Amino acid sequence: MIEHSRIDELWLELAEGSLSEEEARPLREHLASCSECGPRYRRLAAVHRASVSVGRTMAAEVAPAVPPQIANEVLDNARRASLPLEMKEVRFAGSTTVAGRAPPLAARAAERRRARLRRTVYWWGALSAAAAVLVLTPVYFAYNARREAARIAAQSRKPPPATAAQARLALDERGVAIAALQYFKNERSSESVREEARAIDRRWDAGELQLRTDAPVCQTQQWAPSGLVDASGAVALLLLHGAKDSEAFLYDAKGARIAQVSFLLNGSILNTEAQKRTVGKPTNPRFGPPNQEEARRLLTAQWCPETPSPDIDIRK
Amino acid sequence: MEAYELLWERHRDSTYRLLARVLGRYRSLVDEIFQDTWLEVATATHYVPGSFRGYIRTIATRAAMDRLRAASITMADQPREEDDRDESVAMTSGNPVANLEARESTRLILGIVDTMALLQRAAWTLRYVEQMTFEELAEAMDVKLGTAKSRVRLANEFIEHALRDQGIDPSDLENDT
Repeated sequence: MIEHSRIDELWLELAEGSLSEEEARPLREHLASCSECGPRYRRLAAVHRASVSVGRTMAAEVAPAVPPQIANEVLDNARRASLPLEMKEVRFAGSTTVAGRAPPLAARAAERRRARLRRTVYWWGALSAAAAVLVLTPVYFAYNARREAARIAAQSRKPPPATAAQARLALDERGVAIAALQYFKNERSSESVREEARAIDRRWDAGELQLRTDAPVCQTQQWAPSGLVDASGAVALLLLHGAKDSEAFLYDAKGARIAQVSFLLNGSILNTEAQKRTVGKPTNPRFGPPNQEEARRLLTAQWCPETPSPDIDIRK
Repeated sequence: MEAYELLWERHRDSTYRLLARVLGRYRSLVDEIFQDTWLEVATATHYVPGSFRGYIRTIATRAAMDRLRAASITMADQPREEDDRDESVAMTSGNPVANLEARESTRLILGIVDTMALLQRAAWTLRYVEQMTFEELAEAMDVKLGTAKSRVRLANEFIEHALRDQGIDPSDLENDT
């Protein structure tokens, strides 16, 4: 059963005779029997034939001639277009010819063409730039976020155990600190004080003294075992690893505090009784205030391994 | 340049006529688009195998469509310009009465065609006046084959509807033309 819509779709091909016989036969049969499609098709087919006739008539008519002015300008434009590129680079908009006349239509056509090309280039350029910004902005932020996350992770991560090379470097820095303290002890103290310091050193070397602190610093005792460095060196290590001088003390084997670190720094050593008297009080004016700033300037090392490698010989 | 001038001599008038017919009432645009078309030919950087006639008709038609679209001219929304069509319709036979009737019928159909939407008008003109095949028509209008056929079909249905509104039987018209 042929539907009416099928006739609507194919009536033109049927009228032109471009359908195959297999396609055309059922359409014709439907048109012969359908009171709606038949008359409509006959009208449309008549219009088609009239259109063919009118079209032929129009095609046979004398074509309108190209105006001579337009013809000249087209040829002139074509010649200009065939010139080298640098010869074509003439701006026509709002300009006049050498003779003072308005530029020819062909020139304006060329200018329109260039303007369209420029608009196209600008449009695609702007589109490309916008696309690049859209793509690169998230990439940039993602890159920065990853860098920031890596930085935070690195800060929160515990430092790795010290390698032998790092420990030796620390020892070098420690040597600088110890030398500075030796300088204070030997050069800037009185003979009696130096003698007392040397006595403390001997006791340190004999293992009679311990260095302790209540401050949360590195395992100073592991870094300054008695017998390996002198007392000043042990103090230097303690300070080197962040202890405040007011929190670090030398103790004897019985647990008696015998010296405050700050006095060692200043080249001054007080006996236990004197220390007991001065704890919490102003420094003994006889020796002046501790020269902590200069000592800290010399103690510049910041690296603080939590656990040293057991195979390090800190004498080297 | 010699080849260009040769092509120009052979195809300029047919191109101009094509544009004049496709653009219809927008005759003022014909010169401009005609120049654009031949400038396109002069600056073409590649050669498309095939007949030059089909090539330039395609360029001209597409330029006309683009120009009208750019100007937002898509419907028959301007009054028809007076032209010399009465005189331009050729006599088709030696019978004065038949010629007069044929001229009237042609005027009637062309008057209806002038009121068509732009794309239907262009399709009708290219098909019946320029006698393009549907394949050529689709190429020139840059549409699919089915769309090209549909536009011609709709153009004919538009004419049929307009004639019915005027109480004219197309069969009578057919006899005249």
